[in-house]
Amino acid sequence: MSNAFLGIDTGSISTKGVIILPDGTIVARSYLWTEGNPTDAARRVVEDLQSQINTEEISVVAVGATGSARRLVGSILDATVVKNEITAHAVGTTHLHPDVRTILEIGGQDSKIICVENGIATDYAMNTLCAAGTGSFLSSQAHRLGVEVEEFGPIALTSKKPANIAARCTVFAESDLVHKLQVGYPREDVIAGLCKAVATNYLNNVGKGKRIQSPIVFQGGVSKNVGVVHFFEEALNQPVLVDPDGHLMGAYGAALLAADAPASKRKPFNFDISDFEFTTREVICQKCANHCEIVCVYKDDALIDAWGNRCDKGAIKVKK
Amino acid sequence: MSPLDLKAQAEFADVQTVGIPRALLYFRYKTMWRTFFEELGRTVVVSDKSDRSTLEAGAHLSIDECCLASKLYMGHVASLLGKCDAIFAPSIDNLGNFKGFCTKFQALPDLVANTFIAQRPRIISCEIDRADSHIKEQEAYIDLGQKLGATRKESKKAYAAAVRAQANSDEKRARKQEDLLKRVSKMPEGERPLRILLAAHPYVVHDDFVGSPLVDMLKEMETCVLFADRHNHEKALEKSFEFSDTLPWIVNREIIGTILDLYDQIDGIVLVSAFPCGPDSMTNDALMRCIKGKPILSLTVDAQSGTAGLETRLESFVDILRYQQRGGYLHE
Repeated sequence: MSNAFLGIDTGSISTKGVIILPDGTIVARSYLWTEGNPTDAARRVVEDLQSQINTEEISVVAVGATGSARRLVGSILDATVVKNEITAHAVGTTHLHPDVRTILEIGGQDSKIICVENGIATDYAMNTLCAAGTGSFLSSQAHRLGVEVEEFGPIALTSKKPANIAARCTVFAESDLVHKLQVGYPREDVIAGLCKAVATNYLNNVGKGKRIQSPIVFQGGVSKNVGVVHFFEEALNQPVLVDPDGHLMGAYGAALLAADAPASKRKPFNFDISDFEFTTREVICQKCANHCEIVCVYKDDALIDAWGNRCDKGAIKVKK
Repeated sequence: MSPLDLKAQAEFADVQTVGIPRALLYFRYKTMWRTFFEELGRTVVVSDKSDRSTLEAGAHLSIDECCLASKLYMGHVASLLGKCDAIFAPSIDNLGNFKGFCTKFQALPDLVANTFIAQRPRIISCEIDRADSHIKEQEAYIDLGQKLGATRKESKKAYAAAVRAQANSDEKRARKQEDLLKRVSKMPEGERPLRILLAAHPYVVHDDFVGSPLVDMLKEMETCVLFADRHNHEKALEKSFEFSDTLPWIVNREIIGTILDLYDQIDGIVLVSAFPCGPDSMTNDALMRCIKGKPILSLTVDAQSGTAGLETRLESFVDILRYQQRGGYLHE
């Protein structure tokens, strides 16, 4: 029987999960859509991971959660470690690529850049306020063009002259794109233009003022788009590495952190979460004018976690 | 001879209770303002600490383009209506060259008058504009005292007491922080908490609704939180000229000067700006570009953002500092 560690990364668009052995080898992988329901997505990912391992041989003894729904999923899975996505990504990526200097990440709704020195993050930036140039933007444009977003990359590479598309803002990009199509630009040039715009927009906004040094690793859902990879390499004039497990790096980092947690915190993880009903209820605290929205998570009818209160007046005690 | 040529009329002689909004420059001048009015025999009422309802009321009263801090100000003014005889809203433009304030502070009395045109609150004001109209702070307050019915001599005395009280209070806070920093810096590495300088306008970082949650988060992460405004203002102002000869705003200068002054004693800097702050948009960008070798996080707070995004950003930043100190992510 070998100990193993589960990492789960619940983002706004997709949920990722891995199971790793103590030496860091990934033995199970899962990647599916969050579909606006992180609780259910976590359940499906856990089931998917369970189906890939032999529970007679492998025993999961700690769980790490990350991603924007980390707190919720962390309490549902009774995680040992709940960590922000920047740190989780840095931990995962530096473990697989110890010499990495720059991590570019474009996900469904957010994008970030992490600068690394001697295997530890030194600086980071995240997109603020808007999601221009992220995965959901590319998906909606693919839909408009009647192309599967997965085909975007290969189509973009066939273009000889990418159209010039302003991707600073999705609204402008969309009207620019419609205009280019209406005046008869070939579809591959428009698609290539979009991919190029994603890369340049990222470098001008998220990457603004950061020193982008080699080796560069590109990850997140959009890294699967070979067109965007190509335009990153063109703009940076350096090779950009995409790991086949790049989309799983957050989950991988969370699993590594769970494995690194004190051994005293380990306990066998039951894959039985499907047997329980998890519900989230929102309570508006009326104890002062702040009216904090307190999130309460219930396992069947028992409250297992609550957060969102600004002060102790709104604290809800969880009976353990 | 005062540049304010006409002798002030005692138009506010009947005002007994002066209302002060707990917002904007209150966080810079609170002791001074209270002392000044109390020296002249007035009762001071300060609005309650900010909460969600203050911001909601203020946002409703302001146009979208106003910054978060000035929206809060209007919320505080609204809460004072009916609770005082007049609201104190000074027009503070500058204390001299390169000692300017955001134009918002110059416009305050007009903004308040026009925003509350239906309620017509009485507004007590004074204008401080040394660079263009040669009105020094002292003259402005002496004039204000006379409007309240005091003699020139009485006003001068009240102003002197007010300035002294503010200086004492500033000095006390600065010394307290200095002692804390000394104590923490002496601790052996490994036990020493991260020293994080919160560099922001005082009315952002000390506001109970906007700034306090950030301070609480940092404290919960067991860091030592330092405030840029709790540092000797004159020293900071002087130091800021090493960074820029031309920067016009005094508060931003003091923030920059403090960063430079404490540079060797801190582990990281967190800039916090209330969206969309004009002066910060320029100076914080310049700081991000020019301060090398010290980790900086730039946060923007606005009316929409929940605390989740801020928590992720602060957590990530503190993680970077911690793991850097530890020299690796995982135990060997």
